Amino acid sequence: MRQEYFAIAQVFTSVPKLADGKKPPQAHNQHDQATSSPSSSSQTSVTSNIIRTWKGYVLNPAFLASFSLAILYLTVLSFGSQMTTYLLALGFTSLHISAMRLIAVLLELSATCAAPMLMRRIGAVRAGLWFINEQLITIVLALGIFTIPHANPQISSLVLVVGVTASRLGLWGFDLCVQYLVQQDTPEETRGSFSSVEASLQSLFELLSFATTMIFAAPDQFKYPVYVSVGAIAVSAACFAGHVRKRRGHLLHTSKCLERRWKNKYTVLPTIQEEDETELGEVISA
Amino acid sequence: MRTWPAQSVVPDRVTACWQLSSCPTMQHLIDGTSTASSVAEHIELEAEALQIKMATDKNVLRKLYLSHTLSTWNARTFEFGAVIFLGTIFPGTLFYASCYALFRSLAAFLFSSTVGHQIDIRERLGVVRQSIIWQRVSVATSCLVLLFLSQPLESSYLINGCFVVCVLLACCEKLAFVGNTIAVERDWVVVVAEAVEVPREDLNSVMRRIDLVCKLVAPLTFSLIDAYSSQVAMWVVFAQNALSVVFVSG
Repeated sequence: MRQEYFAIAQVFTSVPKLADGKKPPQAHNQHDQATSSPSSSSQTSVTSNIIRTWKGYVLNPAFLASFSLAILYLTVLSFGSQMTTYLLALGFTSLHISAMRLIAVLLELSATCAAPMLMRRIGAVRAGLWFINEQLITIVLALGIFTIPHANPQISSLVLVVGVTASRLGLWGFDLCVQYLVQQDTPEETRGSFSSVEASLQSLFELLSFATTMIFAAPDQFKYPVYVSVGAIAVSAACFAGHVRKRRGHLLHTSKCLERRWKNKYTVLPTIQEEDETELGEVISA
Repeated sequence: MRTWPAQSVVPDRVTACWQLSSCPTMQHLIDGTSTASSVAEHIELEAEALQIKMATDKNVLRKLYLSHTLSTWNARTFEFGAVIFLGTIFPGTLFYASCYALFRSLAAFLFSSTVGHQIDIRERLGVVRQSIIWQRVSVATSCLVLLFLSQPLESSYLINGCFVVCVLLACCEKLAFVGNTIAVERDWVVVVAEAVEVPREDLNSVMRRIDLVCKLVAPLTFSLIDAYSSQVAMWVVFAQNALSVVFVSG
C-alpha cells in the first residue's frame, strides 16, 4: 500500500528523462497568461483553459481515434450492472453470469497478448481496424439473431451474451491500438489535457448509457439500449476509418518536411523487419 | 535474448577501437604499456555495466507495474465496496447507489480536463504524489463516513448530509484516479518505454492486463470479507488507505 508511492518514486529516480521535458509548456503558459490576460479574474482563465483544452483535443491528429474509443463507453453490451440486471431478470442465476464473466475476462486477457503481436506485424493502424471490425461483426451477427422473434427469450439473449463475450476481444485489442496511436500522436506538453478530455468524454458516454436504461427500464425494452449500443459501435468504427483515411490523405498532401516526419513515424512500426524475421525463422526451422 | 546485446556489442567495440586507435586502452596495448588481459578486463567491465543497466531496467518495470497494481486495486475495491455498503445501509432502494454512481461520472465529465491541465503544467512526480494522496485520503474519509452512517441515526438531515459528503469524496477519488491513470498510462509509459528500450505496445498491454485482473479480482476479494462482515470489510479498506497516507505524506 505505502509502496505505491515509493515504487513510482523509484521509477522516477531511475529514469532521469522523467524529470525533464516538462518545462517549456509551463514557461510558455505563464508567458501567455501574463501577456494576454493580466487583469482577467481566475474564473475566466479557468473557463478559457477548459475551452483551450477541448479545442486542442479536436484539432489533435489523434482526435478521431481517441473519440472512437470514447464512444464505445456508450454501451450496455458489457458485463456491467445493466446487462447483469437484465440477465437476472430473464432468469439466469448469478452463477451463470459469473461463468460468462470469467470467459469474457479470459478473452480480454488474450486480447492483451494478441494486440502487441498484431501491432508489430501489421502496424497499430491496421490492427486497430481489425479489432474494431471484429467487435462490430460479432455484435451485429448476435443482434441479427437476437432480434428474430423466438419463443424462448433466454435463448435469444444467450446468443447476445455469446456475441458480447466474443466482442470483448476486439474491444480491448482496439483499446490498446488506439492508446498506442494516441501516445504517438500527442505532443509531450499536451498529453495530460488530451487524454483528460478523452476521459471526460468516456464519462459522458457512460452517463448516456445509464440514461438509456433509465428511460427503457423494463427487461422487454432492453432491445432499445442494445440498438443504441450497436449504433455507438458502428459510429466508432466509422470514426476510426475516418481517422485512417485522414492520416493517409495527409501523407499525400503535406509538405516534404512533414512528410518525412510522418514517414519516420511509420517506419517505427517494424512491419517488414518482423516479416523478414519470421520468414527467416521459418526457413531455419524447415 | 537478454544476454545477446552484451556479447554482440563487445566485438564491435574492439574493431572500432582498432580502426580509430583512439581508445586509451587500445593505445596502451599498442604502446606496450598495457597487456591483453587489461583489455579483456576493460571489455568485461563494459559488459558488466550493460548487464547492470538491464537489471535496473527490469527493476524499473517491476516497480511501475507494482505501483499501477496498487493504485488500480485500491480504486476497484472502493468502487465496488462503496456501492455494496450503500446497499446495506439503505436496503430496498437503488436510489442512493445510482445517485452515487451518477454524480461520480458527472464529476469526471466536468472536471477531468482541469486535472489533465495540471498534469501538463506540473512536475511529473509531484502530480502522481498528489493523485495518490487525494485518492487515499478521500477513500479513508469515505470509509469513516459510511461506517458512521451504518449506525442507527435519527435525524434525516444528518443522514442526507453524510450522504452528500460521501458523494463529494467519491468525486474527489474518481478525479484523483483519473489523474493517476492518465499520468501513468499516457505519459510515464511513453518515457519509461523509451528509456528502458522495451516496445511501448508491450508495456501498454501489461498495464491493461493489470487493470483487467484487478477489475475481476478486487470485487471478489472484497465480497469474501464482506460475506464475513461488511463492517470489517470497510474497516480493512480504511486501514489500508489511512496507513498509506501516513507513509506517503510523512
